[in-house]
Amino acid sequence: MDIEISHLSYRFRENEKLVLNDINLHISSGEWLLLSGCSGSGKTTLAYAIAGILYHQKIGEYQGHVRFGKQCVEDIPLYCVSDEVGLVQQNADDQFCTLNVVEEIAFGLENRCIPEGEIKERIADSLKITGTEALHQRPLFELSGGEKQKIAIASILALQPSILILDEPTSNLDLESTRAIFQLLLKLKETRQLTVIIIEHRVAFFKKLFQRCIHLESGKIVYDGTIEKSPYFSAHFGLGSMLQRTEVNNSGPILSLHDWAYENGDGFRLEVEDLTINQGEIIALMGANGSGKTTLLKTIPGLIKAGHGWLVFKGKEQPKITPPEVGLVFQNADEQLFMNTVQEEIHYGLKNFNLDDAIHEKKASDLLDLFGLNEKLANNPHQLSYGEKKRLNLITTLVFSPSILLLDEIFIGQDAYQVNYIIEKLIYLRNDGTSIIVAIHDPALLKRMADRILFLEDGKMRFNLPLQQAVIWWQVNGYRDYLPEMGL
Amino acid sequence: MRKIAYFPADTMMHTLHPFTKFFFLLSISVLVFFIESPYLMLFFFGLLFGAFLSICRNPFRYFGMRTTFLTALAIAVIQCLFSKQGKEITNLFGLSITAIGLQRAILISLRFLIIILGSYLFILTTSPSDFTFAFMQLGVPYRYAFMIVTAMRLVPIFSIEGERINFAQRLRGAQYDVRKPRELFFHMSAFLGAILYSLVDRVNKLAVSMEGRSFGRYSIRTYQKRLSFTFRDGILLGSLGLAILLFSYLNWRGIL
Repeated sequence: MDIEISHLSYRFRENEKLVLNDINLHISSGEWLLLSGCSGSGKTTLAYAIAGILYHQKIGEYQGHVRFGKQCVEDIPLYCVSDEVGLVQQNADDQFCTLNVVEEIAFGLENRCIPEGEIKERIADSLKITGTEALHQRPLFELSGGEKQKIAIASILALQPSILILDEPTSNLDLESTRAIFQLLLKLKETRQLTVIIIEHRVAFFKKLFQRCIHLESGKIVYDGTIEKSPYFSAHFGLGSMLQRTEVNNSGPILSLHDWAYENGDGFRLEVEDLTINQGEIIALMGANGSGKTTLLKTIPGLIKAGHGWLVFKGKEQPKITPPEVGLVFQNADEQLFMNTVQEEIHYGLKNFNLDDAIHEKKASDLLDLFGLNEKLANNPHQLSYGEKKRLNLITTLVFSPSILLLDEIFIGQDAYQVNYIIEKLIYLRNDGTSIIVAIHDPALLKRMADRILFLEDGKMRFNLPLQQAVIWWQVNGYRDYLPEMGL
Repeated sequence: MRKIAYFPADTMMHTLHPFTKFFFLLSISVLVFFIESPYLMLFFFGLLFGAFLSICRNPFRYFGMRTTFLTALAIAVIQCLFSKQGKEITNLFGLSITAIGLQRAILISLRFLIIILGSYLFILTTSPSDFTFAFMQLGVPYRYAFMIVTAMRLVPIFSIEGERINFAQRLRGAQYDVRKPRELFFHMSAFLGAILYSLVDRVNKLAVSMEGRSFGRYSIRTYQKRLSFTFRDGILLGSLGLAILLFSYLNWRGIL
C-alpha cells in the first residue's frame, strides 16, 4: 500500500516552531526508506504522523494529510490505522505492555479478538522470523537490550502490518546486537512484502538494505535520494575544523585503581586489577552490553561502593573520588535535569557545593558559549532538543572543573553532527588538562579522540592499551567488531 | 542472594491455578489462628517448609529470609522471657521460663513464620500476569486488570530511574540532610519533578504502544492461554475447605 503525505505541518502546543514544515512525500508499496536528520529535526514526529498517532493524540496543531491508498489517517480511528502500520519505538522498554515474551507478542492479537489457535500460530511465526524461539517463556526484564528490541519487533510483526516503522532500533545496542538487528531486517526483506521506514543514525550497517534516504532538517525534507549520494552521510559531514590532540604539560598519573572489585549480588563481578589514568588523556571504555562499563564508572565517585581495592587520586589513597573533583554524565540526558530553567540547572550544583562565586559564574558563562547554549538560559531544560540536553548535562558537570570526567554512552541517540560537536569539545577539555573516561560502543570514534582503550569483558579488564596496540589485540584475538573500520 | 520474585519452573506449586494458591495463602493465614497446640503448629510448619524446599533447595539464599527467621526467634525469646504464667520449667541467669511462656513462644513465632513463608511461596510460584489474567478470565474488565499489569511493568522502571536521579543529584552536591529542612525540601521537590516528568513521558509512550496495538478496540478480548483448574487444584481446594470447616468446629467445641 502506497503512503502519500501532502502538505503536512505540525506544531506542538507549547512551541512556536513548526516541527514538521510542509512535508510532501510519496512512499511506494514495498519500498525501504531510511529517514535521517539531526536530533530534533522531526524524524520521530513524522513517524508518529504516518502511524496516525500525531493526529489522534491531538496535542498540537496538525495540518495536511497522510493517506494509505484511499484511506486518510485523519478519517479513521487509530486502531484502524494500526491494522496497516506497526511502529517499533526507540526504547523497547517503553513499548512493552506486559511482563513476558509470549504475552507481549500476543498483546495486540488478543486486543483484536483473534482466536486462540491463530494467536498461537502467529506467535510461533513471529518468534521464528526474529530468531527468538528460545526466549518465549522468559520475563521481559531479564532480556538483554538486543533481545528486547527483537521481541519489540516480533510483537509488531505478529500483527501483520503492511508498513513497519522502526524508530532508532539500535540506538541502545552494542555492535553484536546491532548486527543481529541488521540480520533480522535482511531476513524480513527477503521473506516479507513490507514497506519499511527506519529512523537510524548508524547507517554503515543499514545502507545495504535501503535504496532511498530522506534527510530532514528543522522539519523540512532537504534531501530525497540514494544513501550513496547523500551529502549527510559522507565521512566528513559535521566534522568542521576538528581540533588536533596536543601533548598536555605536566601530564602524569592523576588516578589509579588497584585490585578494584565490585559484586552486585546477582553473580556479576567487576574486576580491575591495575588501572592508571594520566592527566589530560581520553580513555575509551569499551565492551559489550553488560560487560561492566557503567558499573566501573559508578564505583569511581562511590555511587556504588567497590567491595574491594583502593584508588589513588592526586597521590592520595582514598576509597572514592568525591564530586566536584569528579563528574559523571549518564546516558539518558533527562535523568540529570531537575530544574525549571537552564540557568537554575547550572546553579543547582554550584549552590550545593557553595561555588556560586564570580569565578564560577564566569566559568558557566564560558561553557555556555563553548557549547552554544547562551541564548537558552531562560528555557525549560526539557524543551531543549536531545543534543542540547546532552550539552547542558556536560555544562552542569564541567562548571565545577572536575579533574576527572566520566561519560557513560553519551553518543547514543546522537546524530553525526552532535557526535562530532561533542568530540571536538572533549578534545578541547583534554588539551586543557581534564582526564576523561568515556564509555562508547562505536569503534569509528576511537581514532578521533581516544588516547588509550580500556577493554572490559564479562566484568574483567582485558587490556588498557594505546589504540594501535588495542587494534592488534582485537585482530589477534578475533574481535573484528571492535576494529575502527567496523564502526557505525 | 536472590530477590523474592516469581521464577518460572514446573514444580507442583508452580502448576497450580493462581486462585488455588491464593486460597491456600488465605486459608493457612486463617488456620494458624485456630491452632493452639504447639505440636500441631510444628507439624503445619514442617509441611509448609517441606513445600518450600520442594521449590528451592536453599530458602536462605533469598533476601529477607534470614531476617524473617531472626525476627521469629526474637519474638520467641521475648515471649519466653516476659510471659510469666504457668509452671517454671527452667531458670536462665535469674530469668524464669515457664511452660506457658514456652508454648506461646512456639505458637506466636511459628504463626509469624507460616504466614510469611506462605506469602513467599505464593510470590515465588505465581506469575503476576497469570494472577491478573485469572481475574480477567473470571470476568473482571480487562481495562482495570491491565492497570495492575502496567503498574507492575512501570514500578521497577521507576525504582531504577529514581536511583539514577538520586545519583545525578548526589554528583551535583545534593545532600538529603534532615537537619536542614529547607534544603531537604528543595532537593526532594527537584527529585519529584524529575520523576514526574519521567512518569508522564513513560505513560505517554506506553499509551502510544497500547493504542497502536488496538487496546480498547472491543469490550472483550481473547487470550492466548486459558488458565484452568486441574484435578490437583480440586484436591487441594477441597482439602483446604474441609480443614477450615474441621478446625472451625474443633475450635468451637474447644478441642483445639
